[in-house]
This record gives sequence, structure tokens and C-alpha cells, in this order.
Amino acid sequence: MDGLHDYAVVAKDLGVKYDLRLQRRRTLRHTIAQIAAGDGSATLGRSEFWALQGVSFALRRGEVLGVVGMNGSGKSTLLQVIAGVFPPDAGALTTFGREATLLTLGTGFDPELSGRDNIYLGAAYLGFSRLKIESEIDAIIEFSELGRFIEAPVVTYSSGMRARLGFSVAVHLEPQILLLDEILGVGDAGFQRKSQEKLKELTDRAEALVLVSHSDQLISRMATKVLWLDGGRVRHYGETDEVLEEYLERSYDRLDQHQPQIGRGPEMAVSAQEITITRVLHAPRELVWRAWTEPEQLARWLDARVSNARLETLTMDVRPGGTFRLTKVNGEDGSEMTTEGVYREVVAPERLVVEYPAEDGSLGGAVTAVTFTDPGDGRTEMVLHTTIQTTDAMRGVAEAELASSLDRLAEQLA
Amino acid sequence: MTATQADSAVAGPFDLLAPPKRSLLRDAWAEVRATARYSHLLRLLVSSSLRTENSNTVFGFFWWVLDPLLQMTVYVIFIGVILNRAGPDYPVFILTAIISWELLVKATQGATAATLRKERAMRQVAFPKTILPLSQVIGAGAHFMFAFGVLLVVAVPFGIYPSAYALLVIPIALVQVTLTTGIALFISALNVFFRDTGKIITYVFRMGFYLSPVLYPVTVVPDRFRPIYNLNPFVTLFDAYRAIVMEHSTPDWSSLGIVAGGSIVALVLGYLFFVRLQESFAKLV
Repeated sequence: MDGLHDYAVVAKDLGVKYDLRLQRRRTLRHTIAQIAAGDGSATLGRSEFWALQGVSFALRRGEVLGVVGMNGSGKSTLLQVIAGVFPPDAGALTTFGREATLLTLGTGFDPELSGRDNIYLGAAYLGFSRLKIESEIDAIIEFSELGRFIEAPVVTYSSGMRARLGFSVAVHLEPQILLLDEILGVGDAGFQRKSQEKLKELTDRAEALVLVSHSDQLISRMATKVLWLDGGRVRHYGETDEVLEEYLERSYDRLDQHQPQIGRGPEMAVSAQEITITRVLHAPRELVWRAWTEPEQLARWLDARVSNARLETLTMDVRPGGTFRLTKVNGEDGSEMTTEGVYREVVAPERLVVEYPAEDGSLGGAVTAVTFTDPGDGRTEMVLHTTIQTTDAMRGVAEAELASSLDRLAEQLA
Repeated sequence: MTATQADSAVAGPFDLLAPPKRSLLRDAWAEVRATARYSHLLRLLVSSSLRTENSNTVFGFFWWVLDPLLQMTVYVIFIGVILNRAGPDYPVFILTAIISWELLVKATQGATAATLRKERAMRQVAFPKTILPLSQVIGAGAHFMFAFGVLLVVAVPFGIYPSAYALLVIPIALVQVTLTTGIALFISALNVFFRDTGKIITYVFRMGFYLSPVLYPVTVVPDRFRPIYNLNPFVTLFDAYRAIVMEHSTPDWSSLGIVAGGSIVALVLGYLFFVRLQESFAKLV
């Protein structure tokens, strides 16, 4: 067995538990009602949810652990527990006294304060001393390219400026163990190139790196080992090529399995950057139209679990030029992002086209068109066609999300 | 695949990994040590919240003076002028209690809001979360000390001149801050789980305001209720502040000692309660 100093992160039978009775937006009324109904003991058995269970791995210094898995498989929870955000509820984990830091943009920023003050604040949240911050502040400011705006309150910044500031703080602090949730890319092309270089420097210098990503190319390029999480458990852990191959195989299997559930006469034709899904719904066309155009109806079938959408934030103004807004929570770092689409065509009850502006993060430049036709037997044929600017790996995820939502719509209207 | 299967496939120094011993007291001690390590962040949070609270107002820092004075004026007009039931030094009498009560309210409400507001940071970074409410209590304490200076000035036209006894504000305020910290920690932790708490507490404070001798002297309370009435620690605290400002005398040390003891108990309980709940904060999705 190797000496301890060879290791950076070791986890043994790691478990993280969520108490479902203590979830957000609970009110006293809810809890009291539950207890009054004698439901307390009934829910006790199912009140726990293990986000991670029995996870073991040993990461040596200089190694890069790639973590893959579907949304909700426990990847972000794993990063949180390594970062020390909460202690494990079972098993043990050690970083041998090293600081493990999740690289995030703008954690702890106070928009009322200036960019400079926020550098101090953000770095302090990450646990860096005043001395360390003072020795880096000039480099951080220069890297951010904010110039004289560094003295202006962050609330006056554009989102690009904010991201640049957040990125500059994050990459100048050099944690011993770096936790990355997707490789961050911010700013214009020039800044992106610079930030990728800096990130490379940072990952080279870190004693170990844990990288969560949906991009198999990235994982295969960077990781020395891969941990595949499935429902909070380790599905496979080992050499990168071996695990990744099996993971990708399964991901495509999963999509294929979707086909028989698609309803009558399903057809799913996928080409490089386009997704087309056809469903026959057992409901008249007017009803299907309402399911797409009324917020309370849409909120019932949009699969919020997959994309972590906060359905209560949904607003829609269904007319040509009107907007569609929905806030999603990034499952990995908890940051919120608002997707904003513009209705391009609204022809009740036949056709609906939404376009997402190019600068939008996840759906940049996507156009989604839904056409409803009435074959005259009380059913509705729905064809969804979307073009999405994304990598092959992400296309699979987007497709699975759409399919899952449309399954729910079919169920709701059945 | 079960954990044991995965385990056997993994080589590593697992034998040396024992689950850490944990207990509430250990966790609390770890939190105290982490707070010392993050004292830099605590300082930044205090100064940034003090700087930004009035940053969008025309009067800015002047609100530090205006806030207590306007409150005082409202009650002086209401009780002194309309009800005509007040002595000549009534404004000083109520201002003394108002600024002390404001310390409690500002600290608790600030702590409750700050703990909720930093949800995202709590989910991403490991930092001692107690510093969020603590920074608000410290900020409210700074407000109080400033307002106490204003009080001494305001008292002069009423024939009450500052004396050396005013320096005793430091031990009295320390007792109150101890008590307030305990309350603020308790309420802000509870509010993360039950958002009703923050709303309810507004009304509890309003009721407490009238149940405490802010606007009236203790002597108006009938004797037979006095033993219960005096259980309210603010009866002792207001008495103490008024003694050093208006009567140029020492506070009733024995009562203050009892309140100090109770406040330490409140602080310890509030701290333990917060520490017990805080690891779940990041898990509330």
C-alpha cells in the first residue's frame, strides 16, 4: 500500500442523506397539518433520501477524477461534500488537511458593493486570508479587464462583466484541491481563450482535480479516472476509457428505451444538431394548444426535475414577439439562470415557434417549433422540431429532457 | 453495484479512514475555531452591511441619527402631546429604551434576512455559517453605540447632562448583546426551515415592545403582576440604561447579574441550536 502522502482525496462508503421533511418552502401550517393527520409516522419511513450511498474512491496527488452521471445522480452532492459544505452522513472522507474548493463565479458577491470590494468579499468566503487577497488583487483586477469600472458597484455591471469579475477571483486563488463543475467559459472570444489558459494553469498546479462534466470529450481528455454515479451509487469506477465507454453505451440505450413509451406511432428522428419528436395525443387539438400556452397547464407537464427548473418562476406572454421566461437552477453549483425565449409564431391552435436568443447559455440560438394537426378522430398529432447549438453529448441530454416532458404531457392528456 | 463491490475494486488507504467522532459540542467548538479563522470575512460582512444599508438614500449615514429620533418623536407626539400624559424628560425616558429595543429588533431581523440571503454561498463554500447572523448583531451593536451617543446629546436640552456613569453602558450593552445573539441565532436558524418564523417574530416584537417598559415606567404595572412582569429581561436592561443616563447612578447589579447569567444560557442554547441545524441549510433544495 502506498504512503498516505500520495493521496489527495480518499472516500470510503460515503453517504449523504437528505431529510425530506425539512425541505424548503415548508410552512408551519404544512407540518402541523401533517402531524395532525397522523401522517408523521407514515412519512417517517420515506422521509430520508440518500443522495449518495456507499461511494468509495481514492484519488492520488496529480490525478484527475472525472465524475459522470445523469442529472440528479449525486454529482453535485459529491462536490459539496468534498468541499466540506456539509459532513458526510455515513462513511468517511478526507483531503488530508488540504483545502478543497469548488470553483464558482461570484459566490458571496454583494451587488451594492464595488467590484474591488467584492473581490475581497468573494475571496474571504473562499477562506483566503487578507494577506493572500492583497497580494493578488492587482492581478485579479488586471485579469478581469474591468479597468476603472472596478470601483463601480457590481449592480451596474453587465452580466458579462460580472462573470469576468467572478472568474478572475476564482482562478487567482489556487486551491490545493480544485473542484470543477463543468469547465467555465465566460466573456467574449478573447477573454474565453485567456480564461481557458488560466484554468489550464490552475488545474496543472492543483494537487488534485475533481471534474464534473456532461462532455465526454472533456472527461476523456482530462480525467485519469472516472466515477460513474447512478442514483447516488457508484455504477462503475475505474480507468477513464473503460468507464466512459460503458457510460456512453448506457446513455444511448436509455434514449432508445424511450421509444416504446412514446405513444401511438412514435417516431424520433435525430440528426446532428436537430431533434424531432412526434407524438399522437389522445386529446382534441384545442386542449393540446391550451396545455402549451397556459402557464398553469404548462407547469403541470414540463419536467422540472430534469432541468431543475423552478416552475413558479414561469412567465409567458403568448403572442408574436412576447417572451417566455423560466428560471433554472444549476444542479451543480446552485446558481440560477433564466431562460428567455421569444415567441416567433403563434397560430392557434396549429403552430407555435419559440426562439432563444443566441447569448442564452444553454439554449443559445435554439429554435423550437411545435405543430399540431387534427387527423379528425379526436386525437392530435404533435410534431416538435428543435434546432439546438450544442455538442453531441449535450444533445442526448436535451433530447431525454424533451422526451420526458412530452411523456408527461401525453399522460396528462390521456 | 453495492458499496462493498465498489470498495473491493478500489485500492486506497481505507483502513486508516475512520468515521470522525462527532457530537454537537465538538461541532460547536469546530464552528468557534472556524469563526476565528474567518474573522476577516466577518469584518468584511459587518463593514459592507453597514456601508450598503443606507447607500441608496439621500440622507445616507444621517439615518443613523434620524431613525431613533423620528421614532421618539412619534411617541412623544402621541403620548406626550395627544394624551398629555408625560413628564418633562419623557423624550429622554423613551429614547433610552427605544434604542435598546432597536438593537434587539435590528439584530434579529438582520440576522434572519442575512442567513436566508446567502443561501447560494452556503451551498457552495464551506464557511462557518454563524458569522452571517453574528455580522448583523455586531452591526446592530455599532448602531446602538452610535445612537447612545446621540441620546446623551439629546438629553442635554432636557437638563440631563452626561456623566461618567454613562461609561457603564459597555457592561450593560454586553449583557444585551449576549442575549440578543442567542435570540438572533435561534430565530435565523429556525427561519431557514420555517419561513413563517420571520413573519411571526415581527408581531412578537411588536407585542414585546408594549409589554416592556419602553413608553411607560414599571410603576404603572399593578403590584400583583410585577413578579411575572419582571421576568422580562428588558425590564432590568431598560432600568439599567435609565439609571446611568437619567439618574447618574449605577444599575441594579444583582438584577443585571441574573439577566447576564440568563443571557449566557440563551447564547449557548442559540449557538448550539444554530450549529445543529446549519449542516442542513445547504441541503434545502
